Amino acid sequence: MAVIPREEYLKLSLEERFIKLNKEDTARAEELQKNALVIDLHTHVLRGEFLDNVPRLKRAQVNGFIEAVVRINEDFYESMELLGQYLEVVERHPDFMPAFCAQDFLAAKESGKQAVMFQLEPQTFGRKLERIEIAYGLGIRMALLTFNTRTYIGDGCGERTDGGLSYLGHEVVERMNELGMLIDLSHCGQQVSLDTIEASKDPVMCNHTGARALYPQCKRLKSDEVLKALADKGGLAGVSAIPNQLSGDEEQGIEDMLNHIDYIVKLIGIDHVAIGLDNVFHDQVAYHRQADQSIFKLSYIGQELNAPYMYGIESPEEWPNITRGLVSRGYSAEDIKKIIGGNSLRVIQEVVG
Amino acid sequence: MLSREEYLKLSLEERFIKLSKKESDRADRLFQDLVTVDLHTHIFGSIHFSFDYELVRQSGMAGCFEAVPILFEDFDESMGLLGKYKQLVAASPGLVSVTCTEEILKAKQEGKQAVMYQLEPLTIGRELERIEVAYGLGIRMMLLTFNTKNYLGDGCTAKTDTGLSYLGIEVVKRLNDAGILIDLSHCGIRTSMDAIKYSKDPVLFNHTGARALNPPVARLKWDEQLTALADKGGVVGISAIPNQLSSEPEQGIEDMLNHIDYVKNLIGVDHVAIGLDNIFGDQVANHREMAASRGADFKKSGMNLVADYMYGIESPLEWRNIIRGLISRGYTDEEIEKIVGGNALRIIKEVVG
Repeated sequence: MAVIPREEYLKLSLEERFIKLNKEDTARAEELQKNALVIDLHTHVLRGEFLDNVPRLKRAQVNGFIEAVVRINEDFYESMELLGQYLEVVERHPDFMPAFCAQDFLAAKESGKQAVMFQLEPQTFGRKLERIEIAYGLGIRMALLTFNTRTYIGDGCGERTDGGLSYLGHEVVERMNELGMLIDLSHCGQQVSLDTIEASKDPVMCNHTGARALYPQCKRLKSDEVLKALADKGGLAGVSAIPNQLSGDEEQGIEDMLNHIDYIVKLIGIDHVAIGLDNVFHDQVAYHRQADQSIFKLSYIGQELNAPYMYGIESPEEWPNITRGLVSRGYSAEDIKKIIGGNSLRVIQEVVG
Repeated sequence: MLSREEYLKLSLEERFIKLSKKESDRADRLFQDLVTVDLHTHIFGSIHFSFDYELVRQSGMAGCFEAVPILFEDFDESMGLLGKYKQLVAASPGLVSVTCTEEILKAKQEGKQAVMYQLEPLTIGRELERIEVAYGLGIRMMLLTFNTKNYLGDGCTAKTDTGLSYLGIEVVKRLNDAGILIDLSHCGIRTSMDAIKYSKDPVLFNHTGARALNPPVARLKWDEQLTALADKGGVVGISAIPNQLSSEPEQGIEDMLNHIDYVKNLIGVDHVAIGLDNIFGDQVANHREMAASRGADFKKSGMNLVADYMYGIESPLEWRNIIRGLISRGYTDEEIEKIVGGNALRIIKEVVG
């Protein structure tokens, strides 16, 4: 099948973009999407023209999501400023509410709002441990330890070296555990991931990733060793849906995402898989092309921009297609509920409260 | 053995190495005529600010590379401190801030003492353009890492010993392009070896010693590192702070001379210089305070604070005792000229101009 351009793809109706199901399965998928608690562990929906995109976000039928506060330069005060801007928007909008604990997600579901929890991507603590408390105080409940490159804490997945967690890194992990702040390892190197999983007394997560075994050249994905260690400590792997991460093919989409979900479920069990789309409202491949011009070279993380978009899961309003996909792959209602939100709620409850 | 307090009550003659009248005159003449350069000083203190112009004047050194020490790597703070130092130098009639070799020589001619500035460690974070900003404001040397991990590499007491990061390699290139000297005194082994390899200019360990003579101390450099540095035309400044060159309860100028001898025999007289790292105050008290903070972990660095001072080279007033020591060890005038300033001037000339 020839790949239609992204622009043309986005002109298709949602029905045309969705996985085909028979009437009964469609009803099942819709019922689950509506009644289950649905959480996306990693989003970038507040950046850009958020207000214009609200209708699209509502069509996603997600009860809550964890929005990334991104400051790649790791400037602490810039990251807190951005958090303030996001919180202001979320608090004022009648359809959204900020989330600081598991209960807030349940409350959002009940009141028909969407709950927004915030994570730092990556953390911006520098060498000042007291910033962990400040960030918590201002509303942060999760932090990614490193982006693709090296930080004071350890090496990212696209770094030249694969050094483990530094002494400071161990202190950061301990302090985050004490506070009840979730640890995300999505962009961390293999050794930092393993060291952190071992050092953390709480479960940790890779909230937007996939199985490296299915696409070995992409360093952003996690090895079986990391995934197993993560699950042994009760943690979660959130499967993402950004183009050119889960596969190197020219055509990529929802089926690739489902392949990664299947693989990880088989490897570490249904209780450790969740969704973290890492999706944006605009052209992600264009964004990646731009990032490649900076110090964050795609070649460092083994990504090639072969596919222009992800059919079936290119934009947040296609979220229900994940549930449809899980139905199409024969998952039970109970298993689907775990993947699309139940597991996420469990870990948030356990670590944050 | 005298206490530090008692020691400092001795006259300079009593503190100095004993020489014959003829040798003594030779030492005085050399000290007066030569352009002495101390590659690493703290005339404005290290963890605490202090400044005693008289002490600097009486040290008699012709030029020095003053460290701007912001261990937490805050760029704004480091530039603020640089501004404060330069203002104080401007207000001291016998001192002059300089940025190149010619200005050091001119200062000597005019009977002034020349001050250059280095960042210890660099404070550029991930923003490469700060290299040019720092150059513009007067910085001519940067230490790549302090004792712990940063974005560029691992310090000598880091938990891991990784090499330069991708960013680290870019920083090295950019420092080369800018004409800023690279110091590796506190860097870990692999970070040092990588920096030596990737730099097209010669680099320095500007305040260190030979690890072969005191293996527990992580800040000293193994033969392999010293040899690699010299092969690229680099310079090793021998320091004189207590509990680094030796782990004996009594330490002093003879330890410093032992390290000079060793390094000279290993890599040749063209690669040995002086970088005292003297803080113009009670250094061991300072280290005890630092040990209690996060800035320096002396247990990890293998330094036991057993000696309270360095006899014969405890205070900047004893600078000329280095020349007396070199005479006592049989160095020729030509060799002494190289060690106390000539080699430093050569590398500054070659890299900075």
